[in-house]
Amino acid sequence: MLFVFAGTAVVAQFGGTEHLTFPFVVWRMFPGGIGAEPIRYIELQGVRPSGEAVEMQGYLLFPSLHQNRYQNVLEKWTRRALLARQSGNTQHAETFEEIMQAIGRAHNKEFPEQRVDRLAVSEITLSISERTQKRERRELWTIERPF
Amino acid sequence: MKLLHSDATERALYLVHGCVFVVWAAMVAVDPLHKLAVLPAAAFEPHGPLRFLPVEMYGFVLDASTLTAVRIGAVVCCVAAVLRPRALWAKLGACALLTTHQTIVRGFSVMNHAEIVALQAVYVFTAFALVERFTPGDRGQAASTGRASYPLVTLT
Repeated sequence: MLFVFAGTAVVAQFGGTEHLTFPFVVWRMFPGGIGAEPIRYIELQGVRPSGEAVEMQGYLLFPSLHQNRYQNVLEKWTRRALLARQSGNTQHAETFEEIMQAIGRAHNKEFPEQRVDRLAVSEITLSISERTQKRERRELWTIERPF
Repeated sequence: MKLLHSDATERALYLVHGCVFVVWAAMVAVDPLHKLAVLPAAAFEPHGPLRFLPVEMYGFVLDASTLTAVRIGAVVCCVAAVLRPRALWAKLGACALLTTHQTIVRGFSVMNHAEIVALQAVYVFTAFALVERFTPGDRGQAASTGRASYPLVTLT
């Protein structure tokens, strides 16, 4: 049994796809500094009827995902939808809109005092080496009601 | 060569075993898994065992009440595994339901190795409990032959 478990855990490191080997998955350890500057990440904002922007804290809407997983999946969904839009593949783009609508509905239900009627997905660019905390926002996608 | 924890006692095994299942019970009990049900099924990418689930079943599996049932079932099995360490059904149930729980969380997000050690610890305890169940000999013999240390050596 010892060898079965140890062997499976080792083989999974070379398995190629974690989708097949889960729950035996690759252990990604990335010691060392951040290679890519500036840092880019995706941010989801809601826009209230008054025009005020509200940060959509998806990890509070879906606590099971925690902050890291939520941020990673937001990146994945957005990048995939952008690629789909560029290549004319409507399916991923529609799925993305559907997911964002669901997030909008969940937000309005959970935080009725901060009701939003538009969502904006943006790419934030910032440099941590300059220590200026200067953020540049580039809007990538807009989702209108109904939520 | 002497392996780490190779002289662990049955008491040490129960202590680690209890800790693992208590941590899982606490984690799952406070996790509102049912909230994921508001996301469309198209956002779900099944991994591991759930890949074999027919697409038609997604609606049922990702329903809020099913997710709540998975959560409650997992907590009940984990608590039962702590209170009755020899109850094999509790460990087997915990394996199935915790795997389902973790697969659903990853299906709606990304694959990473967080929580994997704790999940694999549950598998190890269950596998050794199964072996113990079908191995001839009494409990005293298991203790004297040092079999209680095997799961801890495997985990290490």
